[in-house]
Amino acid sequence: MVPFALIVLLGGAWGLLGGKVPGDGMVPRLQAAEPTSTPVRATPPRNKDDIELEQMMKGRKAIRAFTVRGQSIAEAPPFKVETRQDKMQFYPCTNCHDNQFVDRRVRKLTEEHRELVFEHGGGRFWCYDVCHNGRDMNRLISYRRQPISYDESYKLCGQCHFERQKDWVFGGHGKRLGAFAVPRNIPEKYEELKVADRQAIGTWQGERVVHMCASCHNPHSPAIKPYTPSPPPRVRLGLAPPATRGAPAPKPWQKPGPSKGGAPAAITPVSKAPAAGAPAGVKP
Amino acid sequence: MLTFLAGLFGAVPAVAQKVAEADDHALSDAVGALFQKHYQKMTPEEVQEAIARITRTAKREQGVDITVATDPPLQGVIFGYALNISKCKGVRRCVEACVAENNQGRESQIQYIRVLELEKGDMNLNDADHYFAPELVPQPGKFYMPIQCLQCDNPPCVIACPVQATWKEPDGIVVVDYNWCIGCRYCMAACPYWARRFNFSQPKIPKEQVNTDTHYLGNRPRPRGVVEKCHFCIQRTRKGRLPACLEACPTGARVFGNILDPNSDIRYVLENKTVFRLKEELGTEPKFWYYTD
Repeated sequence: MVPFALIVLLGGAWGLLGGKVPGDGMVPRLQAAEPTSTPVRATPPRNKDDIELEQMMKGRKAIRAFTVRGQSIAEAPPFKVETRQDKMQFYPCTNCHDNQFVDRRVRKLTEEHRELVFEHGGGRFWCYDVCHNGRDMNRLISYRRQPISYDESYKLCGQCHFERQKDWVFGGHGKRLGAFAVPRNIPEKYEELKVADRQAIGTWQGERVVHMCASCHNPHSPAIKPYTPSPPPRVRLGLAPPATRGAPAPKPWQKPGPSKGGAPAAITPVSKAPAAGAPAGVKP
Repeated sequence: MLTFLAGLFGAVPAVAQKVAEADDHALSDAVGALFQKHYQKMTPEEVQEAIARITRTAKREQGVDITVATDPPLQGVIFGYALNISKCKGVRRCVEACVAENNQGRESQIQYIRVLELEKGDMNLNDADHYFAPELVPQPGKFYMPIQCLQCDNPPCVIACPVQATWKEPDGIVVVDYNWCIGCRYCMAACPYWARRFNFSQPKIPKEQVNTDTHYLGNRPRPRGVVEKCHFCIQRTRKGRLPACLEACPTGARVFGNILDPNSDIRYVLENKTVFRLKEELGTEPKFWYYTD
């Protein structure tokens, strides 16, 4: 009786104390990401255009640009983005473009920028004036004719992809800068990926430093391309690899429907033949 | 007579020390590891002795200098993980990164993460293909779902363990004391998600691939005959870093953070995205969610 009460009391005390185990003292929280060699800037830098638009959007809670808690991207927790301008191959664009002569013809580019494949928007986009500003080639342009710096190009993408931009601002899309920070050109070999780009230590707490849209998506052909996968797990010793799966038995919604105006076709029972090799229940 | 006996007994520790040092503590380390107490019952000094044994053993047997941390759980933190199955393309870089980070046996090919390939529209995990190896992923008509230990809040493995070698830490991670595990594998039978792996052989890792930043409850060198599993990279996450699988994912499908922090990425995903968990009907309350865009 007394020992039982003692056990309950001590167990309760242990639980109340946080259930800590003996060991080192508390590790202090990381205050901020380690200083990165990739320049970053705080975001969102809000100019008067941004403030004017936020005021205009403030009353409209019904649309999908707001979170469940009613926050817009202007009310998101602060974060930082890596800069983009310093990584661009041809910046400043005025090295070639003089901001006076603008060739707006839709044509195949033969002199410069030949390597670009234009797949954005199903190929229906053209440079001027959807994203690029013929009169100010060092900056992008919005549909409202507001200049957008290359370091804030997410604002341009967010004009159409505002749901994805909301996800990105709040952390549900994209990646933080980290030891395996993945730029657009992802190496095929895992060994190269491991040592590449150890600029910032990726953290889940402290300052949030994220990749921009254009870090992973090529703005001219933004869809992520297929990868070569890493090798599959090894089959357990002594077991045969599972037989190659043919097309699985069709599900009810994949079968041709009943003929109209007649009795519905009888539902045939779907029986899955077990794989010739290891049974499906075999797992690691 | 008494002084003789006192002298004899007094000399025993010194003799034991000399014997232990003769073979670089191999026997005393083995005996000490066998008879050490459960991690939760050890005093700080005993924990340090256990760590000294581990580092000496690693140096002696593999020739690497490792550090073994014992970072306690952070206050006000419960870890959560979310994975976007719209973005996962089955690339399996997460699997490779996990193996590189967590010192799993290379010959035994232990991998904590298992990526499943399923037909779109099919949520029956028994239909999944574990051994897919096409030229390019994603294959048309398929979607991909990696499974690792889902760090349940009501873990059946913890209930099943007959010696309480596995338990749930206050920050939500289900950990294993590898020196206390007896290798009965009841936990492997209990886990509904096939998350646990058993060391049938001594894990062997090439010397240059050993990760020397380890945690006692995480990726420190494990002996043969114990069960291991994903521990949310406890050696990284308790220091504020991201797990290796998240950092390696080329599509950014993984989201990790503190679910008690209302401003964290994981909280945004749980509140605003369409999330589900595997085998909800079992009541295991996993802390690993899947979501779609």
